[in-house]
Order: sequence, then structure tokens, then C-alpha cells
Amino acid sequence: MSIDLGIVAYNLSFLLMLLGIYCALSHSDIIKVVCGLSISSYGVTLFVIQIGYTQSGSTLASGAVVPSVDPLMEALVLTAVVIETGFMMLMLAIGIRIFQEEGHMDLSLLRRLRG
Amino acid sequence: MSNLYYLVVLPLIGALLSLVLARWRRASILMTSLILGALVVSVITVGIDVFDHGIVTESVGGWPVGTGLGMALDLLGVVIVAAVTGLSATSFIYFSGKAQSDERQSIFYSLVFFLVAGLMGMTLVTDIFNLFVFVELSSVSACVLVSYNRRSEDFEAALKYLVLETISSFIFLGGIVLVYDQVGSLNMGVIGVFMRNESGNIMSDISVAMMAIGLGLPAAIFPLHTWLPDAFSRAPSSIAALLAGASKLVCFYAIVRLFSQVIGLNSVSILRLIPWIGLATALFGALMALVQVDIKRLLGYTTIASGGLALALAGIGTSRGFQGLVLHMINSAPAKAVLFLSAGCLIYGLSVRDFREMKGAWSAMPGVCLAFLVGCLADLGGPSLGFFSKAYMMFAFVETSALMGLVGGLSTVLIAASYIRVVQVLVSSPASGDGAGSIPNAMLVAIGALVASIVLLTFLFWPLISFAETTSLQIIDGMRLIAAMVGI
Repeated sequence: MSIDLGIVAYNLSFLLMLLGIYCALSHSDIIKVVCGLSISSYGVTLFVIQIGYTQSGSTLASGAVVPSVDPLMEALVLTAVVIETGFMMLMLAIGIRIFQEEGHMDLSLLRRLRG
Repeated sequence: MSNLYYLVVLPLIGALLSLVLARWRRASILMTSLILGALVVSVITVGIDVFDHGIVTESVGGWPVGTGLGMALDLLGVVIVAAVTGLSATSFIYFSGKAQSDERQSIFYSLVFFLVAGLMGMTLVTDIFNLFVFVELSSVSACVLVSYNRRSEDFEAALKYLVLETISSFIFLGGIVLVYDQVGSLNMGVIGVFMRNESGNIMSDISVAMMAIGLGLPAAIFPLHTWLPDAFSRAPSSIAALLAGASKLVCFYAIVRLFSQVIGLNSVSILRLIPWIGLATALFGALMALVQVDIKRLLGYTTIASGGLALALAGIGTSRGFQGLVLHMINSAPAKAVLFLSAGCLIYGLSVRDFREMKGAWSAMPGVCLAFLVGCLADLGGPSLGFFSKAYMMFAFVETSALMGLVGGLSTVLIAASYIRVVQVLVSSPASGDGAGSIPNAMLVAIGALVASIVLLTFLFWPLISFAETTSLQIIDGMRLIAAMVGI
């Protein structure tokens, strides 16, 4: 009995993404939330890279046909990584402002907006 | 030959120039007005082109259509770009009243231009990855704008929005990649043809659901709505008006375009849930609005409710439903904006956020209260274009099923009840002789312009209804947009 390694790898990257989201939602410290979300972003990025892998892909590089992965997915990964980094930096910046205003970074103590 | 990409490029130039010109106040105001004027001119030229040809497409960089970064605009899209342009101009005018002593106003202008560029891009693009990029561009700038006043609660609201938006963007990206794995293309048209031919595939259900989560969070669909009341109540009023009027409109347009028009409501089985999710959103938002005391928070929940009604209309898929949707979109953009702007004026003049303490506001600020009343009437189907939008909406619900009509009618009545609670306090006699502070003229000009546009739309109801009929035919016949996107 053979196991399709591709399917296993897809599921593992999904698992990494879900683990990151779980980490982000179960902690109340802003730094830990950002850590969880970046783990989750690695999972998504890994998933995008795996989709780009093809067994028999080829591309024209400097006039000769050479074996290659899907170049579109590489472009997507680059853009997605930049967007994710922007999100993380903005979150940390807001976290610093909350620390300056309140003296702590605990989300469970920030409960002014409810209902 | 039209130039659709000006609609995205002009706001980006504005965003850059307002940072460069930060030192020179007059120059930056002049530049902002020039960019907005150019934007209005290009919306008018593009609009005339779309009315002549039905759908206008363009491929950026001279590639054949369907290969490079494509842009397409249809009749409903013209309404959306016009609403985004008009509401951004109003919010600039409103903000300039407050900004006399504000040193950071260049940052505000730059971020609003980024937001407008993201919204224009979401309306125009024809491939799902660039849709993702523009969604993230507009949400990041919206997040920063929510915390513009830099109070502690503002950062809390912005952080909540940002964390949820990050998670939903990962799910959106996963959905896009899953679609690419099945279809082999990111072009919406190719995806639409694939989904229409391969119905009943479990992977298309999963990927469409993931994309719906990515678009549903910025559109604040139940149960992804929790960020909206916080963000809208803490944002500066000009931004709350722009987000409620334009940003939500664009998100619903993206949902209509991708799911109702291109993929087709019958080809993926999970899309049949859309009307019920929309009605759940409407009922929940209307119920929560009843118990609010903060006036902007109440308006946030009614925004969720009217968005839910729009989603239900988009998911029914009948021609009457789409007619109601077009009228609802045209009507709710100025109505929501005028509600948030006049609520902002009331808060500015009386320095209270709790509407129960706004007794006697009518005698202190009759004009602003009248504008609030006009906004309420237009939003809940009083004598205005809102009446026709609500009439078509109820017809569409009752035609589909009696239960839908019941839930839709109930949520409309509940929204009306929460507006009546506010208006009743505003017109009651003053509790004390506490006078209102003076309101800058620019704020009143912005509110007056929106009220004038509501009145104008009311008198134009007959041409607008026939426009809604033409547009609904175009939405139902999704193959035309698919052909324009693929480039046949």
C-alpha cells in the first residue's frame, strides 16, 4: 500500500496553518498572537509552494528548455509574503502603542468595547 | 478605448504626493482637489463608455486580454466607482473642517487615497489573486485609519480588525491556491467556465467557501461581523462614513461579481446557502442595534443588517432580486454616509456619544438632525429611492419563499425601531440649557451635499428603475462578463 506523499504534505501545511491560528486565538499576549499568526502564514506559504511543484514542468530560460516548477506560484508567494509581513509589522506597531497607553500587552484586559 | 487603470493609478499618485507635499498645506489641498477632479472626469468618461458598450475591458501593459493584469467594468461597477469617488470627496471635505489644527492631515489624505485605490482595484480586477491584493491594501489602510485618533480604544478596535483580517486573508489565499490547483488559471472568467462545467465537485465547494470567508470578513457577514461595530464606532466619522458607504458596497460588489455573476449560483452547491446567511446577518444586526446606546455603534449594527439584506438579494438569483440589489446599492451608499456624518456632527457639537443624553438636539442643531432624519428615511424605505429598493426587495423575498419574506420584513421593522429610538430622543425637549458647540462649515457642506444627492436620487427614481432592470439582465447573463474577462 502506497501513501501519496503529495496529499500528506498538503495536509501537513494545513495543519501548520491551523496550529498557528489556534496559537493566536488561545493566547492573550499580543506578541504571542503575532507569533501564532506568523506560524500560520508559514503554513499558507508552504501550501502555495507545494501547489507550484509539478513533476514534468519545463520553462524557457535563456533560449533552452530546462525543467522548472510553476513560475506563477513563485510570484504569488513573493507578493503574499510581503503582505503578511506588512500585517505582522502593523500588528506589532499597534501593540507597542497599546503598551505605551496601558502599560501591558494583554488582550484579555482590553475589554472596553463590548456588546 | 478607455483608460480603466487611471481609476487605480490616480489615487495611488495622490497617496504619494500628499506625503511629499506634507509641509505645504495649501499645495496639498490643491493637489487633493486636482486628483479628485481628475478621478471624477475619468469616472464620467468610463461611465459613458460602459453605457455605450455594456462591458468595457482593458489589459494593463499591452498584453492580450486574458493574459496580463486585466480590468473589466460593467454597469453595476459604474455605480460602485461613482459612489467611491463621491464618498471619498465628501469625506475629504468633512475632514478638512476638523483638520485646521491637525499636523498629521497629510497622513490622513495619503491613507484615504490608498483606501480608495484598493476599493477601485477590487471593483475592476479580473483575476482572483489581484482581488486578494486589493482587498488587503484596502483593509490595511482602513485599519490604520480606524486608529487615527490614537486613543486606547481606537487601538483596541484596530487590533481586533487586524487580527481577524489576517486570519481571513490566509484562508482567502488558501482558497485561491486551491482554485488554481484545479483550474490552472487565476482569471475569473476561466474559473467561472470551469465551475459551471464541473458542478458537484467537492473541491470546488471547499475552495469557494474559503474565498467566501476571505471576502465575507471585510463585508461583515454573520458570524464574521464582530470587528465592525468596534471599528465603525471608534473611527473618525469621515472614515466611518467612507467605510460604511463605499467599502462595504465594494465588498458586496466583489461577492456579486465573483459568486453570482461569474461562478454562477447554481454551479456550486454551497452558494445556495448565501440568502439564508444574508438573512441571518440582517436579523442579528437588527436585533443587536436595538440594545445599543452609543449612536455610532447603533449605526454600525444597522450597517451590518442592511449588508445582510444585500447579501440575501445577491444570493436569490432572480431578476427581481438583482433589481432590488441594484436599487439598494444606489440608495444605501449616500444614506449610510449621511447617517454617520450627521452622527459625528452630533457627537462633535454635544460632546456625548450616548444618544440618550442628546435630548433637545433638534432645537440646538436643527439642520444636522434633519439630515439624520433624511438618512434614516432613505435607509429604511421612507419616501425616497429607498422606498423602491425596499419594495423590490420584499417582492423578491416573497417570490422566493414566504419564510424569507417574513425574516426580511421583520429585520426591516427592527431597523426602523432602532432609528425611531434615536429620533425620538433627538426631538424631545431639552433637559438643560446646555448649548451646542459651533460646527465647522466644511462638515455642514459635506452633509448638505449628501442630503442633496439623496433628494436628487429620489426624483430620478424612474430612470434608475429602468437602469436597475438593464443591470439585472446583465448580472443574470454572466456569460457576457466571462467572455469579456477571458477575451473572446
